[in-house]
Amino acid sequence: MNPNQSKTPKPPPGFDRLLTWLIAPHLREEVLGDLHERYYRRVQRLGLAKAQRLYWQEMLAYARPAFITRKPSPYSTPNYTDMLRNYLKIAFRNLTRQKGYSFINIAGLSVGMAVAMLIGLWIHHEYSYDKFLPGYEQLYQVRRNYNSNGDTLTFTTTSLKLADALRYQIPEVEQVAESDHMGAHGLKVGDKKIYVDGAQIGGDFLQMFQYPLIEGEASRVLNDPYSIVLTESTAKTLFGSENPMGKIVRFDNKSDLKVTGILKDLPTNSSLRFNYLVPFSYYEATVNNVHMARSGSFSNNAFQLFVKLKPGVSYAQVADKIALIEHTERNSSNAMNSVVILQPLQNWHLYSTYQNGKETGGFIEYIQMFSVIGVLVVLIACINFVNLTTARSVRRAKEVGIRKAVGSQRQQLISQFLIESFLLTFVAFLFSLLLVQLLLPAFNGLTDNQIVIPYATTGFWMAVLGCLLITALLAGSLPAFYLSSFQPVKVLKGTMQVGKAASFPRKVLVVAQFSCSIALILSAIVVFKQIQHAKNRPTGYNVNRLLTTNMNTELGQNVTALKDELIKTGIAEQVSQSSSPATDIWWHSDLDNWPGKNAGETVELGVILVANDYFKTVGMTLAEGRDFSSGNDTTSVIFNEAAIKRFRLQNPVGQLITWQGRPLRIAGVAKDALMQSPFTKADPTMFLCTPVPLNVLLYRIAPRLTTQDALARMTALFTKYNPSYAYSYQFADESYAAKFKLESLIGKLAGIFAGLAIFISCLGLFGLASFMAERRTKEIGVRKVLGASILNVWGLLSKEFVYLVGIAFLIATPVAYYLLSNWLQKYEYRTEISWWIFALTGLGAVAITLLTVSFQSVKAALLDPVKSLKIE
Amino acid sequence: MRRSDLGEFEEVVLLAVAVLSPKSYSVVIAEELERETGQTVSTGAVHAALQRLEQKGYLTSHLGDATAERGGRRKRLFAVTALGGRVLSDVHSVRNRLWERIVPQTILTWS
Repeated sequence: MNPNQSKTPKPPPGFDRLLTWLIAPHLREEVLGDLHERYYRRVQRLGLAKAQRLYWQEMLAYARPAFITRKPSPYSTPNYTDMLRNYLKIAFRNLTRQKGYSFINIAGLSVGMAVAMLIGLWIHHEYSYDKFLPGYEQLYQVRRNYNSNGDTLTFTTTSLKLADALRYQIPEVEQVAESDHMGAHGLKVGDKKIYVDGAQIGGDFLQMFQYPLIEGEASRVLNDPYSIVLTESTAKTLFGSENPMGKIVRFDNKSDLKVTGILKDLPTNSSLRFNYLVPFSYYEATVNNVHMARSGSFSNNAFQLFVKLKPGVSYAQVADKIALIEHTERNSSNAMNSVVILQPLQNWHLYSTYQNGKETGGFIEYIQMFSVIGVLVVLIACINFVNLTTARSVRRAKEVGIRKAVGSQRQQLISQFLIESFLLTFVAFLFSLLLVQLLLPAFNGLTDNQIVIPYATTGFWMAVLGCLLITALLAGSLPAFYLSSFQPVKVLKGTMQVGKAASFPRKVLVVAQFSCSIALILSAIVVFKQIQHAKNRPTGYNVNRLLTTNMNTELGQNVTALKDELIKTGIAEQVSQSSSPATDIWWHSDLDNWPGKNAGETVELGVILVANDYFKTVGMTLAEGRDFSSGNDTTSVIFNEAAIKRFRLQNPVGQLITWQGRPLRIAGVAKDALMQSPFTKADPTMFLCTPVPLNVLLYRIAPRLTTQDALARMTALFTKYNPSYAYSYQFADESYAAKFKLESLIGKLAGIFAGLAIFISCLGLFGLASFMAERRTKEIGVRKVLGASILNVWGLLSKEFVYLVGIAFLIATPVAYYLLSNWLQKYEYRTEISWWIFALTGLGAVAITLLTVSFQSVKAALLDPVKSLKIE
Repeated sequence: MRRSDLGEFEEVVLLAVAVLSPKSYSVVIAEELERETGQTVSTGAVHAALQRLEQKGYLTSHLGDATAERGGRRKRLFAVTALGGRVLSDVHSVRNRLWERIVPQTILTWS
């Protein structure tokens, strides 16, 4: 050997590695040998630098198919499709051989996946709101942030003057549409009368919001003030099978409007709900104060505005300009206190609550909450799979040992077990699809939606496939890695202690599972309790048998006669009128002055105009002072207790206040009544008396009549005094109950999902317990022979699980407490999270665990020791 | 004659194997060709040609000794088969016959 050679630097090893990888195995030795030999020879002959340069060239010459192409191996490579078939066959045999385990796994997974799918579909539906409108990104509703003593209140009502200001002074605004508050009006064709919700809306509306038209052109249908656009189903109700185009509809028994367009019925995922559209120009032409509002003041905030920004313009670009538009327009105090903001259409549905003038959330919070629940439930089901598979690993150990001994690679085993979990997940998915299909009608009934499984969309299948993959990997990878790690020598010699190593992670997983379930149950209980708490809250008035009917001009003319006859015939106990129904306040205003007012202080307060007998009719009581003496007692005012407190009035009765320039004397103080949200404090409210007809007729059915009987008789009476309109009414108790709709729904869903979560967890426990019992058959046999009682054995097997659930409880409690007390902060009127909820949940969880486990442990305890020990 | 089976480079490689036999392997063949043609010849090109020739049955090979400068790797030694020899002599005689038929004056005009 040449001693110099050891000194010459070797060719860079990196390239050797590269070539080793590149060049076919059967050529590697000679090729690398050639390269090195040549290199050293050249170093000696041509010098290091040149040799290195030429080495590069040499190397490049090997990048050709002759060296890269692998030689067919003399050993047959495994045929992958055959192996796949084998894996599937083994998986299928395992599934059918151990029916109990398979059932638990599949049942758990399919219930979990069904829950997740339902939640997924629901969330997708909620996110799809209004997105069917072309160009929805540029559409906004105008909102107004009103500053009331440092509190910012956000309103959807704006002034009509703002419409023109936006239209003519902001060049980035493409179109503006005015709208009324979208209430019900009477439509009449021949003797067909209906009373349904619709809107009086600016002429550009249908060009901005491109709801599909069946007949008519969006740019023209609302041009003539005396026109009306009907939705398909409204047209059908009014005109039957006739073609309604060009026909006449009597509107509010006041004007004849010509049908100029037919809209397709609005889909359920539309935020705006209307059955017909009437031009805003009609509203302006026929209602005097609307006409005045156009030229009047910025403080007449009774309208809604919709805005479309020019393509490419984002709200952020114009926000500053729009915010101060009222300030620049007029220096009124109202204008100075309000800032105009726009809410994008795509946020209407999910972000409904405003705090300090900013979107804070709304429905989106529940969406987020339920996404978490969906993921948790699937996770719980996955944990079952992991636990049961690793627990059963003794049974699979021999298979793994033999497979490895005959030459399986670990990777192959991993893929085999993953394929098994895919198969299982897929079967579970089929069941879950069936479950969802069966449950959807009930779910739709509960959530008041019309969700269907979108079988035809590829997006759905992609999402399903993605979720399947993730679930199968989640459930399958841990068992796959664990099972494939067995040492064949140990397994086949029988010296391996399976289960010991896996039992700790299994315990952790059981604890995790039960922590989730217990937290969910705690949440369900607290949500339920909060709803009950609000429902049981004294309302301050009586909603039972109280009805409201919206007034119209004709009814206004005959209202006295109607009142008399309602009382005289004994149908109604009391009758009165007011400017808003008992369960709502439609008008908010500001007081000009009151005793003790600080300079510059403003207060939003509810204003309710009432007729005689209002308090008697609604069932409100007065804390002090007197009721209005008669319908003409227009100089008196009655405050509620909240208002007295808000205005810091001492001895309020008899004090003078000023409202809209009118001096009024406080005649009495009404006890607080929950006219708006049952979850907040009563709003400061002021009641004023007026003899003119008001918006709403209030009447209470006499107790001796059944509702049905009374309704039949009232229909007759109303038809007599109000022939142009269909008789319509709302029950106050129903309107009040509707305020709990969202919370009730959340409560129900949380309860259902929590129940399912605990059910799936118990399935897992059941499987684990049966496994434990099976594994310890011999031990139990010995114990029994030595004199252990059935109770002893039962305790022995159950103890461990109770212990685990106990730990889970300790983990879940503080987390749930923290989250729930945060949630409750939203509500001013809230229930407290008392200790008994935790005690109840803890005991319940332990009881359920014992029940689940006992079946197996008692079975094991009853086993005849002779039989279990004989095999030895 | 199966002339189309033998490329020009293959032909010289085959000849070099014959010349260097029994110690012919890619490195020495490449160097021999470099010396004869005066051009750089990579072992890769030689090796590829050797593989092709072996596939065609003109060459046979076995693994030889390892040397230190090869990093302890063995070399593949090539020998011409009977078929290879016949092809070579065929080519040779074709060329010879053609050479002999060139009229002497033509050769004179080249030089």
